[in-house]
Amino acid sequence: MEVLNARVGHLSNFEVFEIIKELGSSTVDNLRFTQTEAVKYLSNDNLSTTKQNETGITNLLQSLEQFQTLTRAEKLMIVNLSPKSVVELYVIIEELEDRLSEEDIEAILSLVSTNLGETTNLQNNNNDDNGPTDEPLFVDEDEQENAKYEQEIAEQEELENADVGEEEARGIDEVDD
Amino acid sequence: MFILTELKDTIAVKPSNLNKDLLDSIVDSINYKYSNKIIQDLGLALCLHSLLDSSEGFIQHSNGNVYYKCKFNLIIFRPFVGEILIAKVKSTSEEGITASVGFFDDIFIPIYNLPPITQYDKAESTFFWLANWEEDSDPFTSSPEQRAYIDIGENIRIRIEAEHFENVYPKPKKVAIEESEQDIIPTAYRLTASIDGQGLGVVSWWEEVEEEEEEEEDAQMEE
Repeated sequence: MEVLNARVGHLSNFEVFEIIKELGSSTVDNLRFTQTEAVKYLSNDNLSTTKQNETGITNLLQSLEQFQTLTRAEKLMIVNLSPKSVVELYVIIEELEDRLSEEDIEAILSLVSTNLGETTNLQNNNNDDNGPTDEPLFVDEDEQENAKYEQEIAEQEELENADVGEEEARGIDEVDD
Repeated sequence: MFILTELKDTIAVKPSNLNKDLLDSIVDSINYKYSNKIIQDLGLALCLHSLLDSSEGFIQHSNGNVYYKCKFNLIIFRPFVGEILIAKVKSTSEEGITASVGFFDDIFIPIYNLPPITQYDKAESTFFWLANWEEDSDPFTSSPEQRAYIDIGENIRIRIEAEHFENVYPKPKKVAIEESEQDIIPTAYRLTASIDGQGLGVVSWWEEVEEEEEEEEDAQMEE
C-alpha cells in the first residue's frame, strides 16, 4: 500500500451520505457495518444531512463568498452542522463577535435556514413525488434469514407430522391385511 | 469530518469472486481489505469512493488469486483538530466520558475538558454540570433540579482537541493470553475531545437556553 495523496479533499456529510446510500447492500461484513452505522449517525435529528440537497449547498456556499473572513473549514462545518442559532454559530466560528457584525450573523443564519432547512426539502419533494420515501435503506438480512429459518422449521415439523400420519395410515392398512 | 485519500495498492481478487463482473469484483475486494480499518496516520477507512486506475490482472504460481495494481480514492473518517462534531455519549467513568459517532467509538473527553463546574456523581455514575453555580460552595449541596446530567446515549456537541496514532502489533499467542488481563490493548487511532465552552456539551442544554431567551424576548415585546 502506498499513499499517493493523503488529503485529496474534504467531503461534506451530505456527500458521504449520498455515496453510502448509492452503494446498496453489500456482501462485505465490515462495509455493511460502516454503512449502517454511518447512515444511522448521519440521519441524526441534530444533523440536517437528510434534508440537504446539492443545489442548496452550492447556493449556500456561493452566497457565503461575501463573508471574506470565513475559512474553508468553517464553511464546511456550517454545511455539516447547519447552525440554527447564534450559539451554534459561535461554536463553529472562532471569535465570532470580532470578525462578524450582528447583521452578518443574522444573514448567515437565514442563508443556512433557507438553503439547508426544511423549506428547500419541501420544494424538492414536490419536484419528485415518485421518489421512494418509506422504503428502508438497508434490509436487515439477519431478520430475513431468521424468518427463513423459522419457516423451514415449521415446514419440517409439518413434514414430520405428515410422516407420522402416513405411518399410522400404513399401520392401519397392515392390520386390515 | 470525512476526507478523500488517494492510494495505490495491489488488490487480490479471490477465486470465489471471479464469477462477478470484473469491476464489481475489484471494488468488493478493495472494500473487503479497507472498509472499517484504521490506516496508520490516515484515519478510519469507511469505503471506496472511486476506482481511478487498474492494471491487467496477473496470477502467481502459489495461489488462485488474481492481482490487480490499482489506484483509488477512499473515504476516510479523520476529523481535523478544532472540528465540531455531534456525538453520542457511550459510557462514563471517573476519568471522563467516551463518545461515539456510531462507526467510531474511540473519542475520549477527559475530565479536564469538561465544563468548569462538573462533578462525577458516583451513585448515578454520570457527570453533572452546574450552570450559574457559585464556585465557593460545594457542588454536591446542589439539588437534583439544578444538576444537568450527561446521560449515556445523549447527543453532545464536541470539539476535537487532539488525535493520536499508535502502532499496534499483534502479540505472540502465549504472551497474549498471559497479559490479556493486565494490559489494555491500545487503539491504533483515537481522538481527544472537549465539551468545555459556549455551545458545547449536551445539545439540549443550549436549545433550552434559546427557548427561554426567546420567551423572555416575547415577554418584553408584549410589554
